Amino acid sequence: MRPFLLSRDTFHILVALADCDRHGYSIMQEVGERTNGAVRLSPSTLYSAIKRLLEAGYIAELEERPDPAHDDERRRYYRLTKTGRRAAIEEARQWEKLLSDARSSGLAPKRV
Amino acid sequence: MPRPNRKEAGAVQLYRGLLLAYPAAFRDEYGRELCLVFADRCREAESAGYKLLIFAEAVWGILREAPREHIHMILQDLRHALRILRRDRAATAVILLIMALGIGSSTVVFSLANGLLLRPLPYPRQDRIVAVDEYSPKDPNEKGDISFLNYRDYRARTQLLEDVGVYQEGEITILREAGAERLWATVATDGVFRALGVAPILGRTFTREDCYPTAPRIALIGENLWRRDYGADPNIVGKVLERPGARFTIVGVMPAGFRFGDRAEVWLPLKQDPAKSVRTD
Repeated sequence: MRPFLLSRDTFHILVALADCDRHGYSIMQEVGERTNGAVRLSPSTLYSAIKRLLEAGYIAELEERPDPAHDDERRRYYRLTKTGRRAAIEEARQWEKLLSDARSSGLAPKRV
Repeated sequence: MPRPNRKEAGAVQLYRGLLLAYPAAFRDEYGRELCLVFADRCREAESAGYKLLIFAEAVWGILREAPREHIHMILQDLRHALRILRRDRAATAVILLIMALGIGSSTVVFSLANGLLLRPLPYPRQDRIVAVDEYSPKDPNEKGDISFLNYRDYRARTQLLEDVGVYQEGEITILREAGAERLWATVATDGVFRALGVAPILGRTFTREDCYPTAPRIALIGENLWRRDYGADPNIVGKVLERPGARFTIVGVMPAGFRFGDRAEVWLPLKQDPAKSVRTD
């Protein structure tokens, strides 16, 4: 099994962008809600990760604004790219495999 | 969007100040976004305790991420520089040549400055040693060697100096079983060794009597010569150092760090008959 390529925070950001384009604060809120507040990204962690993801081509900054009528024009929106989606899917497979191994070893509950 | 209250505005202002820890490029690109997100989180917090927690998290985030961002940017710049250097071999060669010349010349200048100005002399009382020169009263720029008679006068009359010695460097030939060997030697008076304060590792240095014209011929040798030519013989004192037409009894061995003059491996007493000496003006 190959090692995980993405850090935990980075993977959370990609998951948050999987279903819609979001700005930074919306990503933080989405990550917080998905994890019931267990993962709290600080603004610094978020934007350092966003910078790396932009450099890697995993996400892209949007030119247009998804909802200009109800929006703060100072915000930047980000979208998951095809490369980023492939990387996230591959990472999810790795987690799936790890979880499956944990289940068969009795370290995680069996699926119901 | 609701306007932040005064406390929130103050916290955002403080947060903006803390962003100075980031590289300027990162701050220019994301500084405004960071402040916006921080302000959103502050507004969202319902209690003062929660606001404090958010502020602490934000500060901790900066302390953790800002150094990483600096390192990341430095590595990025290095990678970029390496790519350019690989692409243009001729420019790389010129840059390396200029750097080599720069580093080389700096090293030479520093070595000279260190040797002449900074590094202390390798003698125990180096701060109390002075060099005495004689200059012509007719022309202050004309420096000459000190005559033997003048040296004797300095030694007899000085109230300022504890001891005075004179020396002269040159090459000598010594005869070994394997053949003749040319060595650097210093001819020195007894005062030189007392002024420098370096003790021999074997035997003794020169006495005033050793410098009388009629005194027996003796020599001091350096530790390197002692090890190289005499196999570090512990009974070297009393053995003979032979020169063409003369035999010298070895009276001592000076330690390897003792350099007077710079290349000398043998020291002989400076003997001069005052009656046959000429005084300088």
